[in-house]
Amino acid sequence: MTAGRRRVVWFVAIVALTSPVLSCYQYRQQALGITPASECPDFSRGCATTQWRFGYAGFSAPDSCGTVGLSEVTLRDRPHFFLLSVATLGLVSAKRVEWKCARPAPSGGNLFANVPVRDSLRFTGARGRRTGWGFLWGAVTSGLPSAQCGDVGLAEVTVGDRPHFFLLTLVSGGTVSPRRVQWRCAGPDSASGNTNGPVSPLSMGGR
Amino acid sequence: MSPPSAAPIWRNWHETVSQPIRRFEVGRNGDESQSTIAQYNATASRLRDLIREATDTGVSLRAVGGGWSFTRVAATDGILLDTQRLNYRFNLGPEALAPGYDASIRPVLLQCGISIADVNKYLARRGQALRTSGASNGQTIAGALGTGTHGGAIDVGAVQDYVVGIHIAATPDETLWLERSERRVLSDTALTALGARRINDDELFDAARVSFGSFGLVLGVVIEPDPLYFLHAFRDRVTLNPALWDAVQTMQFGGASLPGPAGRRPYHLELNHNPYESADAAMATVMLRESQKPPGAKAPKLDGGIGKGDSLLDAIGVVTDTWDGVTPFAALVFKAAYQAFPKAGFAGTPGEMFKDTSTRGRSASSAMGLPLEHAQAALQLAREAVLKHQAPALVAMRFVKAGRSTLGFTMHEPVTCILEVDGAHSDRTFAAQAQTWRVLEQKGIPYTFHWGKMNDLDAVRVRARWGTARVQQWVAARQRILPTDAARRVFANAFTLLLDL
Repeated sequence: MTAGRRRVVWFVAIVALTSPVLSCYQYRQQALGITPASECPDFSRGCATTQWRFGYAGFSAPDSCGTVGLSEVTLRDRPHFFLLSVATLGLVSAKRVEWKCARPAPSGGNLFANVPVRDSLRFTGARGRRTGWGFLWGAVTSGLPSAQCGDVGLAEVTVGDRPHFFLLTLVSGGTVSPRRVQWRCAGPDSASGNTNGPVSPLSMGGR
Repeated sequence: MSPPSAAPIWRNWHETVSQPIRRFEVGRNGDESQSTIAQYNATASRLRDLIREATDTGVSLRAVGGGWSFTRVAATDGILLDTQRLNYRFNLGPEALAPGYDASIRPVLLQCGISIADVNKYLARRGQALRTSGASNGQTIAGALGTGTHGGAIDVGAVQDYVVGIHIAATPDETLWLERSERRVLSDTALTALGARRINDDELFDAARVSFGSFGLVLGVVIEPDPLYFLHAFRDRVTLNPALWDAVQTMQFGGASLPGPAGRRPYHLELNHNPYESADAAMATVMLRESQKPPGAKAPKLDGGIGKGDSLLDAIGVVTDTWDGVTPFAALVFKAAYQAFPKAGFAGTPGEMFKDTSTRGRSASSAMGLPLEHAQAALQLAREAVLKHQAPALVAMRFVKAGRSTLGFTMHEPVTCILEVDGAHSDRTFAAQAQTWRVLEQKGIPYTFHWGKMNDLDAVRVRARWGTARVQQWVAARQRILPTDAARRVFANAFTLLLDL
């Protein structure tokens, strides 16, 4: 075996052996103060699926969540996902996506309709992006503040793998692992929302 | 109801229960954008159909809220009803209130699945607040009621103590409205609107409040909030000296040195003791009740910044179980967590102070209610148990006014001391908890268990802890609500059968 081949074998072996600890990370984006309503019987992690993307993994609120969107989205690495990223030089990204819907936000009612109580649902339409940092194989996290979406949850969350983030994770032995996270709040017109924009009340017409 | 999920395993929030289930049902209101009594009743009708199906097929049916209980108290191998989307909230105008009821209290009717977080928001918009809640806000109102969730409000009680009416579906044929005998809340007109049969009976009401889903499906509750108030928090290390223990025993704090301004009676009090630090030291949190927000004080900010990962507590449990001598280092994590909170200068509404939980992953928690005079001895026994087993755990105490619920664990008059042994999910933590329970019993210290936290209850112990008379009273009340064996089987589960309830 040539020296070059030996180096490749060693590299593959080290990556294979360390992938279980390099892949302990999870990245969660949640809507501030929006409690979840799991659609699935796993109340700890919510519903789950695996997403295959090129370079990023994202998730949009399913229709079953309704207009209030998602309470939280968690994207987790797995050892074989990590190995796949290594093999494709980070071009192919697979993530286990776990999500929980936000609870509905009905306006208050009256037992009898003779005393109207009008309240409104607040949509901020906010969106944001931030680099989230994981340390010590996921034991410590930093830099992922909750999204302030008013009375509703998230419409979409995306986690991006960047080549230099990937290399940093590999070189640091998994003690440091950054990811680029983007999110967008749910709302009637969330596609045109703006970061830290003003809260715009929308009457739901309830009593 | 939505179509049943294909996934057959239910797991609770803390990942301590994994339960195969026959069917998972997600309860949904017909209109999720506004609370209407027509849709509330339509949902109630569908839930009664579910009870009929369970009765006819002999299958257990249990409702689950936030799934926060550490035990199998909510679990079933039959039909599990997820109530989290059933979160209507209703104002109760004069027409809805019984003659003679003080309308200035402005009670509200809450559907079973509304979260404490959403109740806080709804009440804040009305200029009101909950009198107390748990330390976090993800429980549903029916779940918090059914398990006796408590805070640390020394003159208030637990969640069940401000619930003044319960709307419940126990059989397929009707729904019941339970209230105290001497204090009607809803008018006959209101009950007609709900289609409920009124029962004013103290024994039934006191038993049904803390009944962990065993009396039927709770459809809704009426609670009495307070006018909006603020909690002004102070946190500091204190010495567990005789003056402090005297204050704990008497609930008179004039001689004790607690954080915050002298001479003010705490609204909320808790003591957190790290067994790996000095034996006579604790971190005390005092919250004062204010009608106005103190100038300059800010609500605590708990999101963003450095935080623990989902698996940290689980990992601590594995590491400390695997290697001896590691636990004291793990306890440094707890110490760091204490120091993350400011000593003073933070205040907010109850909804701002007791907010989203940051605890994820597997953990272990046990809480025992006991008389105040045993508080000092109990803390010492729990400390010794943690140290003996080198458990990655902390010991804490909160204090809650005793209530009237038959099986409420905050039953020790006049104020119940709640001893908590919480920590990482570890064999060492379990051993420390078990030793604490065993030694409390050996020392003759009477205690009761939080229904939603780890315990060693069985048919004998539940009667020893609460007293045979109380348990019999609760069982008799359940038999009145559910008069046949078939009806009782529907709302039984392995936990209630083990306890012979």
